Amino acid sequence: MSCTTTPPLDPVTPSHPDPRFRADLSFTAEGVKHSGFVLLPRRSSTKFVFDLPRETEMFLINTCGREDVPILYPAANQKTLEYVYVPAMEKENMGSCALFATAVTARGEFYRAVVDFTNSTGKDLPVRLFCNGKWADVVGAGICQTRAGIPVGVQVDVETLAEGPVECPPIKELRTRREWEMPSGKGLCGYDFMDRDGRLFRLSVLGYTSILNIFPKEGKK
Amino acid sequence: MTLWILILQFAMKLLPILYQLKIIRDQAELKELQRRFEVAVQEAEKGALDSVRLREQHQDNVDRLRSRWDEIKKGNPDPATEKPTSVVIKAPATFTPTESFVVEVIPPQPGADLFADDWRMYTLGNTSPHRVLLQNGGERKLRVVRAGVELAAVMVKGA
Repeated sequence: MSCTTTPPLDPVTPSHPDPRFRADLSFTAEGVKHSGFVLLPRRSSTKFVFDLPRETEMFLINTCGREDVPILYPAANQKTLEYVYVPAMEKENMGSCALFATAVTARGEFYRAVVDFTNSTGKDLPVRLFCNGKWADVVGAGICQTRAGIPVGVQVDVETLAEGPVECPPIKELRTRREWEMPSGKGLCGYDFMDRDGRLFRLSVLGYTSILNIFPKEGKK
Repeated sequence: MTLWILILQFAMKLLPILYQLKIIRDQAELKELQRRFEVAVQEAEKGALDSVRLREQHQDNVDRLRSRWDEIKKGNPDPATEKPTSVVIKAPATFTPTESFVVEVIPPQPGADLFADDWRMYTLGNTSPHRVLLQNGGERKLRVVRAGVELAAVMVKGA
């Protein structure tokens, strides 16, 4: 027997003791402003500047190969945090290796930025991606953040197979080897699509069940 | 004059009570902030391995996709669309969370996975039965899955 600690993601249920929050953290990457769940070109080095929420007490940066805990200076009223991300060769610079930046404030507010990276291998599959009310033409990698339960769709022009993790909502094939739909699950789910020539489209879906109230209550602060 | 003195005396008696109430309210607020902070930290730490999990999901997907295309190119049917055989899971209707219990998969499905639905997965071998330990109670689902296809499922309940 073997065991895994990978938690299964529930399909959408009416009530759940473990909501996944959506509380987007703003940042710039190489000078361009972003927020929340973002797809960026993979580079040998990316300079991030994260906007620190008021009274940030803890900041974590996680990837598939690291956890960094930058030192904060709350007494200095630090408003931003600079982080230069240099993905480690052969570990972080290939395939899926998203960067997660998480800020927790003294008031119990939780903010997160998720950055996935494209990885042009020369074998990138072009698809049409439906996410949160919009269609987009994407190549090789795509992301979608939406409320858990809202469907995400993929269309292709060539014969393609689709796969997803068993612990995530199943993929429904709408047209044989051409079109699929899956409800976004609670948390992160990775789906992949591959054509006969091995061209790949990697889709990461982030489903949330609660939007964290990022504004403190009125009254004494 | 006497009335003013009475009012003043009353106010002086009332002030400590009001101050005490303020302390109680401040302590309650502080406790609530502390609780929210702990929940937020738990949420942050829970997500610390999300990147690792996502990578594993994508890698497993790609491995399965390559296997499927290999079969199809050989002229075989797509393994993911093969009709599953009739599989039965035998497990007790109720289980005690602190004790392991026996699950039988009939017929045996070597190489398939038994999901015990509390973040545990067991890879099935050639023989049955299998011992499963569920640490939390409530209604749970046991599933046998092969190549992403669910072959059988049964509900059990924690005593």
